Formats: sequence, C-alpha cells, structure tokens
Amino acid sequence: MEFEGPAQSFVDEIIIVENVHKWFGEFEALRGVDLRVKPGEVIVIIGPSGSGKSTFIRCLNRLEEHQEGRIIIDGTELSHDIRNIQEVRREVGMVFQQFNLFPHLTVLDNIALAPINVRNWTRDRAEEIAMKWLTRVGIPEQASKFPGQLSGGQQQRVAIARTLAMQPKILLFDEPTSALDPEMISEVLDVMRDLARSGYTILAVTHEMGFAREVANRIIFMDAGKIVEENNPEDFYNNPKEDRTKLFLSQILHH
Amino acid sequence: MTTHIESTTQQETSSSRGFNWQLFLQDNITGSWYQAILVLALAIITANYAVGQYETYPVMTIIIVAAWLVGIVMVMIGEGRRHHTNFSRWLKENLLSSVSNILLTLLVGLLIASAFIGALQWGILNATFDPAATAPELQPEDGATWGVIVGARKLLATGVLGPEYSWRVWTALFFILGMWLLTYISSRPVLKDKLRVVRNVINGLWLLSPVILYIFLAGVANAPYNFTGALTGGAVLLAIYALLWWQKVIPFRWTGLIATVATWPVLYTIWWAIGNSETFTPINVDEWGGLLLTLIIASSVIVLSLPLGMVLALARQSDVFGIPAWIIWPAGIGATIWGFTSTPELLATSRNLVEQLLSFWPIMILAIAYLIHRMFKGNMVSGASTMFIELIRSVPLITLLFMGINMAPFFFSAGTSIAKPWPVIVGYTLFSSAYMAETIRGGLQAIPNGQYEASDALGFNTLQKMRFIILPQALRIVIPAIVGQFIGAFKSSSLVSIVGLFDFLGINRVISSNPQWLGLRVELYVFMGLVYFLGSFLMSSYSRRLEAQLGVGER
Amino acid sequence: MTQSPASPSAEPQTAPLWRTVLGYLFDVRVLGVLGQIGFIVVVVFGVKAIGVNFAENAQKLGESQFICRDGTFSYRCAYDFMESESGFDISDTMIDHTNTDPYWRSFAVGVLNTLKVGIFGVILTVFVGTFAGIARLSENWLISKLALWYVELMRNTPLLIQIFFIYFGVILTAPNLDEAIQPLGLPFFLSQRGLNIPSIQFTSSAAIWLAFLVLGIIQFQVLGVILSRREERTGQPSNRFSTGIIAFIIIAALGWFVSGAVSETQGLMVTKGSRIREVNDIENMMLQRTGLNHLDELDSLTEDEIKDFALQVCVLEDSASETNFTSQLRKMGIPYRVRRSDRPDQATERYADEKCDVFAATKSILAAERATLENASGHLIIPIKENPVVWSIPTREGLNMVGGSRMKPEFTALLLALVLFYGGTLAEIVRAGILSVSKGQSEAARALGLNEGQRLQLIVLPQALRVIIPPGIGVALSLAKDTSLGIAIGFPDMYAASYTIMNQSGRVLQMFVMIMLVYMLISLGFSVVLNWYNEKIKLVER
Repeated sequence: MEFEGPAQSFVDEIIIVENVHKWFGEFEALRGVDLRVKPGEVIVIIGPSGSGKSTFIRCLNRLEEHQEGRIIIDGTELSHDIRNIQEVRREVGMVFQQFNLFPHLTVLDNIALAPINVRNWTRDRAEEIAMKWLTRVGIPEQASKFPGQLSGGQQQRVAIARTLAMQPKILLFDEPTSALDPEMISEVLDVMRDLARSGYTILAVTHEMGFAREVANRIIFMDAGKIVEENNPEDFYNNPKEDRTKLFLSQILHH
Repeated sequence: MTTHIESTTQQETSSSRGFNWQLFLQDNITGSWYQAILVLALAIITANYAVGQYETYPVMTIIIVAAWLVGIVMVMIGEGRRHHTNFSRWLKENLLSSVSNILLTLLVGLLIASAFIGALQWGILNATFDPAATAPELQPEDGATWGVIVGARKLLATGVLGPEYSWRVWTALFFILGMWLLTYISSRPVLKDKLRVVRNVINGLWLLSPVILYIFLAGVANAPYNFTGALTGGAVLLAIYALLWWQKVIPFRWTGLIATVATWPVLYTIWWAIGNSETFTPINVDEWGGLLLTLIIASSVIVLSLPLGMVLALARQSDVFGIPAWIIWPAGIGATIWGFTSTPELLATSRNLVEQLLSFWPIMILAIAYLIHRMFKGNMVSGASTMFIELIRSVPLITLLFMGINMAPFFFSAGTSIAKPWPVIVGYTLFSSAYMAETIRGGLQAIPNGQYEASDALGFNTLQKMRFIILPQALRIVIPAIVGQFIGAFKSSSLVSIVGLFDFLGINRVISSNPQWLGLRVELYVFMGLVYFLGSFLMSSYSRRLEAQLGVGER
Repeated sequence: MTQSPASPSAEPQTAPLWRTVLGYLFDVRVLGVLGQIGFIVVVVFGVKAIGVNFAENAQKLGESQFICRDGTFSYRCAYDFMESESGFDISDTMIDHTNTDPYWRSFAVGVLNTLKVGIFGVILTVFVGTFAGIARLSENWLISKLALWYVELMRNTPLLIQIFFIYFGVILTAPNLDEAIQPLGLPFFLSQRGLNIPSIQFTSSAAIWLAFLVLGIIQFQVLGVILSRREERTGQPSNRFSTGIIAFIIIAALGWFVSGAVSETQGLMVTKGSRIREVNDIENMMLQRTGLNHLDELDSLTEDEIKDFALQVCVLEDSASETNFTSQLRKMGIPYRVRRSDRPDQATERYADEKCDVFAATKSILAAERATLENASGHLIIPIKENPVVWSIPTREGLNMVGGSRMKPEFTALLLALVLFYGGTLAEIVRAGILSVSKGQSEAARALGLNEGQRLQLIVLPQALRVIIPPGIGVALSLAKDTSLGIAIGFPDMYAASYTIMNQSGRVLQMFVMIMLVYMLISLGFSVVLNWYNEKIKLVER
C-alpha cells in the first residue's frame, strides 16, 4: 500500500551536506558540517547539549538558515529560493521534542490539515489516510479527541502520524522522547523502529542507546558544531575512536 | 493578611482548650505596638463616627449598632460553647474575625447605611415621578425629578430624529433582535447539525447586516445605475478570490467563484433598486441622536476596528525579509547630502535660533534611516504599522474625534458638507483599531514558537499558517480582551458629545436646557450611568460565559 | 505521489541564465524587498488618492495662514500667529495670564494645567488604587464587597458621565463657601467654589533646609553602601534601612533648627511708641491693653471685646510671612486680626494710618517700605523667628476662606473623577499583582525563617511590583491623556486652551500639530520609563 513506505527516491544520496556553517549573531553554532546520506539510511546523532545537533537537523528543512556551505535534499538545493524551500519541506517531515500539535484541532484534523491544504487532497482522502496512520501508530480510537486530552506518548505518536501523512521521504526526529515520562518512551520508540524498518531515511537526534544500536546504520557524534566521529553502532559504543567520544560515552553510561 | 490567618488558627487551638483572654489580647491588640495604635485609632474613629451618625440618623444608627452587638454576642456564645452555628461561624470568619475587623465592620456598615439612606431620600422618598410636573418650580428641593426620563424618552432614544422615521428605527431594532434570537436558537446543540443551511443563511445575513441597517437608518438616495462601479467591484472580488485560491487558503470551486464574483453586482443592483423605489429615503444623518447614535457609533467602531486591528497586528508582526543595510544607508546618506544643499540658504534667511536649528533638517533623514535599519531591521511593513499604532496610542481619543470633525473638510473638495457622525466614526475607528491591534498582537505573541515551526515543517505557506493555525488560536486567547475593548468602545463613545454630537450623553444638553426640564442634569446622569452600567455588565458577563465555553486557558 | 526531479547525479548542474534570473525573482530576500517596495508604492498612492483634496485645501489654507509679520506668505511663518494677542481669559492659571498675553502663553498655561492634573492625579490614584486593591482582598466581607462594587461601578460607566456627575451633582450642589462641608473636622472645605485645602509655604530659609534634606538623602545612600560592605565583610546583618532613616531624620531636624537660626529674613515693623522690641513684648502689650494679669484670662472677655483688643496685623496677600507670624501668635495665645493687601505700598499706607499695630513681611520689603514713611526713624524693624516651611491652613473668615490653597470646582471635579476612575482600574491591577505571588513563595519565605516584615519587603512586594508596575504605567499614561476630558466641564487644560486658540485664530492644522507633539512627548516619557523598568526587571531575572 502506498502509505506503508516512503516514496521512492531516484538519487544516490538523498541528503548532501557540505561544509555548512551557521552563526547565531556572534556565536558559531555549526562549524563546517559534512554529511552524505543514502536513501533508506537511519542515522542517529548524539552529542552534549549545545553541540549544534538540533541546529543541524533544523537546517535540513530550513527552520534555521545556514550561512555558508550547501545543503541538497533529494536533488534540491536549499537556498533563498522560495520554491525550493517549499519543495524540500514537502519531502522532509519533522517530529519535535515538544510535539507541537495544534491544540485547537482534533487529532484527525491535526493530521489531515496539511495534506488537504498543502498536497491538495480531498478531505475524504486525507481523513482516510489520517485514520490509517493513526491505526499504524496504534491510537485510532483517539481520532476525535483534542491533543490536550492525550498523554505525552500518545501526543508524540499523533505528531509522528501527522508527519507521515504528508508522505515524506526523509524523517527528522529532534529528541522525540526527551519530553516524555519514562514509561511512555518505549511506545514512541516502537513506532520509530517500525518506521526505520519500512525504508524511511531517518535522521534522529536521540540518546536512546537501545534504539541506536538496533536500527541505526551510522551514529554521528557532534561536539562544538562539528562532527567529531562517525561510526557504525557496534564500534561506536564498544570502541570509539576519538577521546572526546569516549569521555562523552563514559558520562552518559555512568549515570 | 497572613497575620490574620495565623491568628485565627491560634485562636482555634486556644478555644479548644477553653477561651484564653491573654492569648486573645495578644493576638488582637497587644501583639505589637503598631497593632495597638491601629486598633486604638480605629476605635476612636468608629466611636466618633457613630456618634455623628446618631445625631443625623438616630434610628438607623441604633439598629445597626444593635445588630452589630447581637452579632458579637452570637460569636462570643459560639466561642464559649466551643460550637458555632453556621451563621455565627460565617459572622466570625467574614465580619468579626479580629478586634480591628469588628471595628471596621461597624464603621463600614454605618458608612454604607448612611450613603444608602441618603440615596434613598434623594432618589425615592423626596423624589417626584410625575412626567408632567418637571418644571423648575415643581422640582423638589432635595429629591430627584424622575419624570424627566419618561417625559424626554423620545429624545433619549433617538434624539431629534423626525417621527416619520421612527418605524425604520423600530424595524432595525427588531431586525437585530430577531437575528440574535435566530442565532441563539440555531446554535442550540439539538438543532446545531440539522439546521446547517439555516445557519449559513444567518451567517450571511450577519455579514450583510451593516448594509441592511444602513439602508434602514440612513436610507438610499435615488441615483443612476453605475455600471463601471458594479463591474469594478466584481473584479476586485475576483482578484481576492484568485489570491486566496493561489495561496491555497480556499479550495477552488466553480460555484464558489461565481457566487463570490456575482455578490457585488447583485447587491449593488438591489441597492440601486431600493434607491429607485424611494421606500427608504435618505435621512439627514446629523439628526441621529440619543441612544440610537451611541449604538450606531459604538457598533460601527467595533465592527470596523476588529479587521483593521487584525491587519495592523499582522503587519506589525510580519517577518518579511527587510530591506538590507546596503540599500538603506547609501539611499539615506544620498538623500541627506541632497537635503543639505538647501541648508545654506535656509541658514542665511533664518530669523531665530529655532529656525537655525531647523535648517539642519536633513539629519532627520539619517535618523529615520537608522530607525528603519535598527528598530525594524529594514522591514517597512512592520515599521509603518508600528509607527501608526504608536502615534495613535499616544494621543487621547478626543484629539482624533476633533481632528476628524475639523480636518474632514480638508479631504473633500470645497463646498462639500459632510455629516458629523462619519468623520467621528472614522477617527474613532482609527483609534480603536490601534488598541485592537495591540490586543491581537498580544495573542499572536502568546502562541508558542513551536506552532510556527510545526506549520513551517509541514509545508504551509504564510497565509495558510496564519489562517489555519495561528489566528484561530490567537483570537481565542484574546477574546476576553477583545470584549473588554468592545466595552471600552461602547463606554467611550460618550466622548462624541464633547465634539458636539447629541448622543445618549450629549442629548442631556438639549433636555436640561428645555424650559420644561430646566436644570435636570443629575437625574439624567444617574439614569445614563445605569444604562451604560447594564450594557457593559451584560457584555462582560457574556464574555465570561464565552470564555468558559471556549475553554480559554485549557490547552 | 510527488516525483522528485529526476536528476541522476546528486550535484545540480549549472542552470541556464534565464533560470538563474528567474531563480533570483523567487529569492525570499528579493521577494521581501520587492514586496516592501510594492507596499510603499501602495501607501503612497493610497495617501495621494485620499490626500489630493487635502493637499490642495491645505495649500489654500496655508497661503492665507502662513503669513509673516510683513504680510508675505512663507511656510516658516506657520507659527508666527502664536505671537499675537490671545484676547481671552483663562479661569484657572498657575502662571499669570491676561487677555493681552500672546497665544503661546495661553498654550503654556494649558500645558501646565494638564501637567498639574496629570501629576496630582497619578499620585492620588496610586493611593486610592492601592488602598482599594488591598481592600478587595480584605478578609472582611463588607469591605471586600464594598471595594468590589466600587471597582465594578467605575469600570462599567463612562468616565465622562462620572466627570459630569461629580461636577454637576456633587461640586455644584455643594453648599456656599460660608457653609462649606468640613469632613471629620479636618481642614478641608468643600463648597460650590471648589475645595480649600491646606498648603505649604516656603520662607526664604527653605533653601537651606532643602540643602540639608539633599544631604540626608546622599547620606542615606552612602550609609547604605558602607553598611552593606560591612555586612559582606563581617557577615553580621545590620538594619540598613532603619539606620539610614534615623540618620536622615536627625539631619533633617538639625537642618530645621539651623536654617531657622541662620536665616533672618522675616521681620516686623512697629512704631517706637509701641515699645515692642522683640516678639515676646507683644504679650506685655496685650496685657496692658486688656488690663489682664495673664493671657489665660482672655476667656473672661466677650467675643466683641476680644475683637477690639486683638492685635491688628498688616500683611501681603498670600505671603509666607503671614503664616509664619500668625502661627507664632497662636502659640503665644495672642488674639489677632489680619489685614491683607495686594501690594506693599497699600499695606504701608494702612500701617501709616495706624489701622494695624504691626506690619509683617520680609525684612527687605519692610526696609524699602520704611524709607517711604514720613517719620522713618519712628519705626523699628524687629526680627522674628522663622521656620523654613510653614503650613497654611484654610480658615473661615466671614464669607470668605483665607489661607491654604483653593482648587477651582472644575479642577476639583476633574481630579476627583480621574482619581476615582483610574483608582478602580489600578485596584484590579494591584489585586492581580498581589495574587500573582504564589502561596508557595510566602511559605518558602517563612520556611527560611524570615519574619513578616522581611517577607513582605524581600519576597512579596518585589514580585508583586513586577506584575503591577508595567500596567500601572499604562494607567498613568491613560490618566494623563484623559485630562483632555476636562474640556467638557470647562477646565482649561492644554486641549481646551488649544481649542480656544483654534477657534480664535482659525489655525486648525498648526494647533493639532502642537497638541499631537505634546501628547507624543508625554507618551514617549512614559514609555522610556516603562522600557527602563522592563530592562531592570530582565537583569534581575538572570
């Protein structure tokens, strides 16, 4: 079925990031980041807070604007050209730490609004697909409720369904489990694992080690606006190359 | 406050062990030196006042002091038996919780009672109610002459509007009341879904109601049919429809398109036909007066200032990419240099220090360039809106009303006379929309950044983002504030009486200078105050209900 | 399903020139600038469309109005008319104004009146609003309900009706001056002619005392810094505030006596024959005149007799000398009658006609006046003690009120209405501010062992004020703007003065520019204060 996996991509490398720099005023948040991602790859980005990992993935759908270097998403370069920005945002879905559901709309409307108005689908088709995604994330019975009536884990799953209903090729996760109570983390991670296996290209900022070990193709460690280490999960956790990585891992593992 | 709370709890613990006088004194009087002084001063003032009141109103004073003493005794009995009845507990907690409160209760009670008796004597006991007996020699010396309100009811309601128009005013009134009733009925939960079509018709009528009311209350002149006007209006609507469709705010439907484009010509033709039939001949708008004028001004301002305020707020908040510094500064400096070519001549002919300083006016260009660059980051849309809002907000309403009336002739070719209500409404609307813009901006700012980011990430364009995500939430947040603004607009519409309109307040001048009602001002002010109070009070309680319904604050 | 552009290589190829140019057109930066240029064009054309008649009419008007003194037309002469004679009187003025003064002076009178109402209004509103706001939270049911209805009444009726009601219904229906209402026996007199209130008058030694006060304030700051340093060094808490206040009081009291002793400007002119050589001699003179042994026995005399025996004092109208001297006479228990004159020479004439026993004024006036007397050496000028600041208290004298200062009915009504109205608004802000300090804060403070005073001063007030002050400044600004409503009852504020000028001279445009400028300056002042305060709060937050 068309909604079960991502649309196919015809490029070799769906994300190309070359020497990207980003300043917030005087502060340089990204100091030359390079990354190439193949379609279907799952990449987990970790790093200490303030290392620029969130800024980096927010640059990929231009929630932040990079000042130097280039970012090419599925063959479209992100520039000031407004057509490219709209094009890329249609192809890239994003899940936020704080869910950012629209509190004045029901769960179903939350999911269907963008397909109707951005993809120009009819309301019936949009709602049908919204229901299918809700079923896939496991909460079809909540469709007519308002976000405020759901638990954090449920809200995050609605947010994922909302993103997926737009049929993106790439999914960006910005610390999707950090704002959740511990018992709700697993329900979200289950959905994410499911998605990773269905062939989506995924970039996730998360410290969930189990998830990273299980589904990630690569793990990227960022610090001070740079990619410090890039490795497969096994080697990354068991014998990291860089001292900085070792220090960071020892800090998160011993807590 | 908290001192009291503490002392009550202590008192309760002490009363469970039997009443402790020492503890009571310490809590209430001797606890600290300033408490003792306070209680003493209060006791002296209260006693003095009670004696003074006894001389003027002996019966009332005796009753109140007696009731007060009975209350104290009841509380004391309750304390002594260590068991309070509901009433004595209420007394103890609300009126007699401490010595200072006991004294305050008596003082305030006497104060309220004497004010009440004074009002009663003036308003009822010494007052006359006969509408026929209101002439100065029949007015009671220390009482109200309420007859004036009945006698002058026509003036109060519609001012000097001719009686031949009263059926139109009545029709307008019934139209609005009927609309309210229909809206209320059709929004009942039982009928809500069944009457979808009816509700759409009602909404359409609401949209048209300003025009309908205008036809009733101002009338339509018989004028030749204006074809270009009809077509231009249709073209403008077509353009708006096209823009909204292009920006994907509304879906494209042939029916919708035709309905939108045809609206203007059809309505215009109806308008023209009404004018042609001369059923609603034009009324001289300057004859509007009384409550009618107040309501017309208030509701026009309310209806107009909401959309205008919304536009201003969105413009002020807009994040359009600003004009970059490398355009602003060269242009600004160039203009400054060009401006300075006039300085030598101005300087040579200047007559005093002020003019010498003003010769250097081109510096202002630099200042403006700096302002645009630094404060508005080159964003002219936001800059213009901000300047407009702040300018309007810095001057009193009455300035704008006077300006409206005094400057209106400037905007028309010589000889055109313009009825006073229109410039007043324009000035008032500008004023009100600046405040409305700030209110709505407050709502926009209250929307978390995540909402903007989520809409961007989903691919909404700016118009869609505003229409579907931001404005619905922002407006819901500011509903109480907007209703507050409406109440303010209703109340402040009384200011138009200063600029010479005979609105509900201004009509007082006509009434109290009429020989029949000569000098009757205060009665009218009291009555008008009451009407305004009821109007505002109803609106604010409606807003509270609306707030509860919409669940503002629950996210 | 959207197909991505089917470029096999990930690197975008170099596009043809027309595509690059088109690409620039879709650049958000270019779009932004283009959009803004479009906006400016629309605004300019819109203004032009509305303003085409305006420009024409204004031009015509300007040609008849922007006239220089030599009769020629020039834009720079737009305000030359302000120099010409106003031709109208203003009823309530702080600076002298007659109908021969130029327009700009009338305007200045109006501006001063606006400021007067604004400043007094804001000060009183702070008191009323705070009081009512706290009363709203009172645990006494009667008081909180009374405050609630006060607030509701103020909020739900138009300010203008309140102004009219107070002016026509309260002030103008008040009794005549000789039966003025005196609430609670305090020296306030409400009558049809307005409100008479006590006022303070400065004698010439006030400057010295003020210098002491300034010294006291400096001392307060310096002592605060010193004590806080010591606190930091030793860790011993010291009561900075109380110490500073006590030191301030000491310095102020010292200044009071010093300035009285140093300055000897006040004097009394007496004839040599009266045998008065110092103020205390007046007592002997009175005893001699009445034939009593002691002034306490005055009670035995009838009122008419006392009136006959009373010391006749000549003074100048509204002089601090009168207040200073009569307060001393009262202290000594000497009955006196005051004769006031507008000009020194009139007073001297009365004195020379022996209508008064003494002439009280500043020494310099007395010296100048003695020189004009026929027998200058037959008169002495003796010094009298002076206080730097004296209270002038209104008292009834026949059908008139003397002393204190009188607020005109219009001013009284406007001030009262504004204060009551905005007091209601402020009450709600104060209440919300106090409620905004969560209970937890108070409990935490108590858990830390702070006492009640410290809790209010250190925890509750700063947090409540942070909520109260920004909207409070908004209230002050609204009040300042609403002083313009005074025109409705004929109070000559800036607005009313401008309106009269407008009607007399026909200079509508110019006057509106002036009015807008003054109000904008006032608002700018308020917003500067507000921004400064917000910045200060932000710093504290970090």
